[in-house]
Amino acid sequence: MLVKGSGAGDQEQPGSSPPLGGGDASTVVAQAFLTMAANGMRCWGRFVQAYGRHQSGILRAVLASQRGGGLTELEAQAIAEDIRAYLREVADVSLQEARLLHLELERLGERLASATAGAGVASAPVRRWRVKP
Amino acid sequence: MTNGVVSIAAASGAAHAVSPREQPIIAELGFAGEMRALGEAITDWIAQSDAEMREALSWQFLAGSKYFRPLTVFSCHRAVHNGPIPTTVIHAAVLLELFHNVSLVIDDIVDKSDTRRERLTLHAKFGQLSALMTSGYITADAFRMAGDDTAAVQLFAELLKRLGVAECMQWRLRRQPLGVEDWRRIAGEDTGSMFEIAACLGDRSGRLRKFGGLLGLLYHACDDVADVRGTTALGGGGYDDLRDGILTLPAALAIRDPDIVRIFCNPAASDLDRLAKAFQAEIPRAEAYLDDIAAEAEAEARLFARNPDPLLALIGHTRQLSTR
Repeated sequence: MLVKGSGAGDQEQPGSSPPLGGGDASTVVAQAFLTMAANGMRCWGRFVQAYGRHQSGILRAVLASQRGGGLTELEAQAIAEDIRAYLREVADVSLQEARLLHLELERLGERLASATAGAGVASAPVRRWRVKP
Repeated sequence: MTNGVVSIAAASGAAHAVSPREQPIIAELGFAGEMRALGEAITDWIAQSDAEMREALSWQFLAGSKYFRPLTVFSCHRAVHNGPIPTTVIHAAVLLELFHNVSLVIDDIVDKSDTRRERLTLHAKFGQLSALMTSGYITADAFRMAGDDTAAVQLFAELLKRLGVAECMQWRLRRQPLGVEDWRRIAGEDTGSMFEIAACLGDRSGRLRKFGGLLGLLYHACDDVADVRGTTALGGGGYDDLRDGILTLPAALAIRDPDIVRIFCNPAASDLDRLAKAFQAEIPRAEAYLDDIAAEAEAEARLFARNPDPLLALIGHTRQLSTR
């Protein structure tokens, strides 16, 4: 089960943050590093939580492996079910955190684009192709 | 009121109606206008359809529909965008409802169901040939109406493919002692895919696709539990599932018992009652699993929706379906 609200539950909405001032590209990069670090730590924290929820199944599998088997078919199926659920949860967490990171970095990029467009840094679009004669 | 079903556009003479159970959620979400527009669009489409198909189409779409998939489309749009629901989104919701009815027609034929919502199914009323041809007509015309909305065309194509895969997979895996993860995969491709596509039609960024999948999974699971609640050995909602060895959520939970596994894989008529009781005994655990799925869906809504309230309302409404 995914942990409710463990991600960016209070994440800012696009366009709701104050515009960056001039020369804040380095600030954005710093914010991006922090965002990535926080995302990574949160992701691993949720991996650990998922392990905790399925610890009994995983440990039973490890013990059975060390004993060289000795499980009934149904016991083996139950352990397999538990581990499959664990793998699915871990995969879901990975995807969800990746999507959150993508959103957050996208918003940082938008803020930077707004700031640089307002400062007149952006000029008229530069044509990179030639019209056919 | 006619047969307990309320017309949503009586003034315009629309033939379509929304079932009373969905009235509160429509009111809560504030989509009465959009549902009216949806009903009118379907009415107009039937009126303009080929005369050969009109009677069958009217029969299929006249029944008190839940319109839950269009509601999901609208809610997902509202969850991410401000302002009124655009006509393009309403149009997409109409087409999704058409494709949904195609799946209902085919399901009823495959399941040999003579009634749906206390009315004759399309094939029971008009015959199998007519029902199959009508489903093909709806499919073709829905794709035509998608027009140059290539993204919607891709989504509808994905939907039909996944529904076909899900049905084949579910039938191939019947009477096998599979577990909850397998149930989840099947349900995810079946009802989950429908609601994933609904979410993507509401918000084309795809941000709510996972939410849609979880909502569909919850819907499928609640349906399973409600069917098991209503099952008796001699009929009832889940009787066919018992007989055919279909993997429902309570079944996936129950078949950890070796005796139940044996019966599930090769049921005699005299075993069905015991099977039904074993599944019913798993309802508390199934309900707990439903709560987990609802919590996952809620987390997705809160993380990725600008305004999660419509999505949370959908989750709440769906969650109650297990006790219908």
